[in-house]
Amino acid sequence: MLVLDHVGHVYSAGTPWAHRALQDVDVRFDDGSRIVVVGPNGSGKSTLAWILAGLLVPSEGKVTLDDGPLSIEESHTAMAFQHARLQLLRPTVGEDVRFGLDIDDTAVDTALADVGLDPARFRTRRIDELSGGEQRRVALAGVLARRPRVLVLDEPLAGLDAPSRESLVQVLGRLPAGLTTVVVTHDTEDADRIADRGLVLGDSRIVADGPVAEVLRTAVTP
Amino acid sequence: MTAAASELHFLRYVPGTSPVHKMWAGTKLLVVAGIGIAVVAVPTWPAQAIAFAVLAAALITCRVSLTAAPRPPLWFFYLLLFAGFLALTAGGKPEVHTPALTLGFGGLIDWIRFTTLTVIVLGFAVVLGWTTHLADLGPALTRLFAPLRLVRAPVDEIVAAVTLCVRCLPLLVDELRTLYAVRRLRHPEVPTTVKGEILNLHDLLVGALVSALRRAREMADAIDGRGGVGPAPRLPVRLRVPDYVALATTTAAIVAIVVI
Ligand SMILES: Nc1ncnc2c1ncn2[C@@H]1O[C@H](COP(=O)(O)OP(=O)(O)O)[C@@H](O)[C@H]1O
Ligand SMILES: [Mg+2]
Repeated sequence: MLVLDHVGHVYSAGTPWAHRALQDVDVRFDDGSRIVVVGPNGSGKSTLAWILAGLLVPSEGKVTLDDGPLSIEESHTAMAFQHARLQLLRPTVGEDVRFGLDIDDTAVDTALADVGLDPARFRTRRIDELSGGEQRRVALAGVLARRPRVLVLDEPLAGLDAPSRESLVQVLGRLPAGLTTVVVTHDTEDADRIADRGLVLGDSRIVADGPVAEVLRTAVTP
Repeated sequence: MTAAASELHFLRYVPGTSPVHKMWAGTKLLVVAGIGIAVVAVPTWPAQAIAFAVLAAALITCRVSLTAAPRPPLWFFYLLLFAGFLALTAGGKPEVHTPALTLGFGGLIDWIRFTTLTVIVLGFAVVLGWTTHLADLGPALTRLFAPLRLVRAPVDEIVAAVTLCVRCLPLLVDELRTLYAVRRLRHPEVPTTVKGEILNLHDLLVGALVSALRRAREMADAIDGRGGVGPAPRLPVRLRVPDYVALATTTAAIVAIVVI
């Protein structure tokens, strides 16, 4: 279980630019649960995502996974960023998925198939020839190949055309069963196809938490 | 986990209403450039003392809390100390003779002088950043460089390039942060060999270059789409009392630095 115990965060604390991005977030996520976090721009979604991925130590409260600290070194967490191109660190698809891992061609092919990319067609393609949606899926294959326990996605659907969006929603719908998935997004369309639990952030606090359909109804009509 | 303790905040504006905030951006650029060039050209102790006095006056007048000061990471200070140690081993006059060995402090003194000089020059840049909206720099530069038009220098292009660089800085910082995070998530093992360290740096640099180049191309397309750079807006310049005080002080300081 992933637990956030009264987590809050202030950027640049102790300077004239001190800025509170998150306040008193107190939630727990069961293993394998699918959560979508929605909220307007600047409400603290990305900050929460970085904290859940273990990339940012919150200035208040603590984050634990099964009562232990969250560890990037042990690959507990993985994150897919809004900006897919920045996450692709090697020239070709196959090399990128394998990057930093000790895995063989079969494992690379499985990871690609998991995100709906035909390995035979994509393994040797160059990253910069891919469409935005394909780049995002390759980035996802790369993080899934690490076999994390917690996967955080920041705005995975932003800026995609309808077909790319649809195929990514399908990929997100069939992620490995035990993987705790947190999807952060400002658009609520398709949220119910990706997640079963919804959190609404407003002004750096959680303002609603519950089954996704219910929560979105209240979020859309405040 | 992350290096949150060290924050650079380079060129970040601190809202305020002090005389330094109200000055024309061009005045501040002239002060920084004038004193900076003078003190680098004549880096003697008295010159540095004068420059430091002007800096201190600016720091007091701008009324920005010193908590806004850049906080470099710890390794930076270690590196600085190490450089000082190397300078000490360089020897040089004046020398101190002990029965066992002769110590030459010339190198060390040069190192101290160079370090204080750097701190003073950076200090001026920091005050400029605290008190000036980045958007005000472009129009100010257009005015200051205006005489260069006489020698057919591409003033509009130079100013446009500077403005674009400044505007892209936050985006670049953001992308570097993401790149670094990606590196950590996808390859968290800390490199233990020099080769691993170099490969690590290489990956980050290549990533940064690819994204900077892509950004540059997008921007060039956007500029072409709007039909070229075009002249920067010529806003009227209103100099007030603080501007005259600053310019007079700066002129006096520069004369003093050169004469002493
Ligand atoms: N690195 C940072 N330094 C300072 N302030 C930040 C930083 N990142 C985000 N913020 C601020 O924190 C608030 C929440 O940001 P963020 O978590 O990115 O929100 P969202 O993803 O919901 O748009 C915003 O007001 C933003 O300006
Ligand atoms: Mg965000």
